[in-house]
Amino acid sequence: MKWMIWGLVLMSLVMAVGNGLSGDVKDNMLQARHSQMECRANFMYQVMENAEGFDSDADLVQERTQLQEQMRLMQQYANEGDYSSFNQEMEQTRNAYTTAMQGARNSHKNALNKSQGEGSGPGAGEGSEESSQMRNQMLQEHQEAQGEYSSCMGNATRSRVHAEVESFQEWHGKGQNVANQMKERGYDTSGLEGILADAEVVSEDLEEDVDSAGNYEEMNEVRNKAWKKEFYMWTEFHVERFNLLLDRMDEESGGEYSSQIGEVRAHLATALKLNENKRYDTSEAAEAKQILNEAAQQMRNLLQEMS
Amino acid sequence: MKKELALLGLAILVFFLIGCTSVDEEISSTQGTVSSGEMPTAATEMGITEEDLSVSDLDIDLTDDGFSTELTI
Repeated sequence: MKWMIWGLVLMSLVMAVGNGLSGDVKDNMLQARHSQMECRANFMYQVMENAEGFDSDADLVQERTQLQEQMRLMQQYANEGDYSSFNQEMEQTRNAYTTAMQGARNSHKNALNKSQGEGSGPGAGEGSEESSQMRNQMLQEHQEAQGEYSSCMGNATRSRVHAEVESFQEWHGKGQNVANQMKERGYDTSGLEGILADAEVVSEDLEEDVDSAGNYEEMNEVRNKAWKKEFYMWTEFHVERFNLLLDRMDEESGGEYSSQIGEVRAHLATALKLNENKRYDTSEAAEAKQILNEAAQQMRNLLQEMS
Repeated sequence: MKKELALLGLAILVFFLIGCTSVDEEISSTQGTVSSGEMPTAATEMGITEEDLSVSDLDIDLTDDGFSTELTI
């Protein structure tokens, strides 16, 4: 009896882990974004430390404290899986980062000015040389910091892309279910399936390209290109879906509402013309979604009229 | 015996919690319906549902820009 109960407890724990209590796709993306932010913050702490090394009068306490506070909040939201608050706080964090960079830049310049100023009057040439040497040293230390940053961002960006692909695959799977269900209801879903197949290829290529990219700038470039393409294909998928529904409405109403249906189709078509490169950034995708929602409302109104 | 019953209770509780959380979620994030409610009879007759008219989101964020690393001195 005892062994049976222990077996039940063990089995239930295994099921708990298997059912995703160990990680959610969206949480993984949030953690990866937070890791990128940590790379940026650590880079900035190093830059400020470098500045303080050159300029003994540098006072970057406020800048450092502000950035640390923002990172504390970002960590909290990432741990809580609070996507919305994380996004909202990103702007403040960007401001804190920019302010810290400006402060560090000013301190570097102060140090250079002081070393240049020491060169006025007798021995001015030595001051210029000292300033030049100091500047070279500043740039070298900064490049070292940038190198560490690039390496950190490379790992974090790779993680982020893999998490994003996981999220995309979830959407893709559900899109496939939608297509299958529509097929069972008698719709010709060849168009939908073609779009889904193409979209899958883009995400597969993205994973390969990111893994073989030389540095994080390259990763970011392939990432942006791929997701902009996916945003366009996401729009295509929904436009195709709605056109299938409009076909059904036209057929079932015996052509009586063809003119109104034509208007909805025309409005839907504008969702595919927001960028001639067929790659949508976030704002274009949002605009496309707005058009899709408007078309959906037009269809509801038309269905009401047909009733 | 009491210990065994406590373990059994724990196992039942965990099974119950799994049942509550293992909900097959809809397509992620915000649903794009302008208004939801009862579909018109024509829609029902044509087999068109409210879900058909909803727009799923693609949860990818491309806005993490604005973090320059240039010192410019």
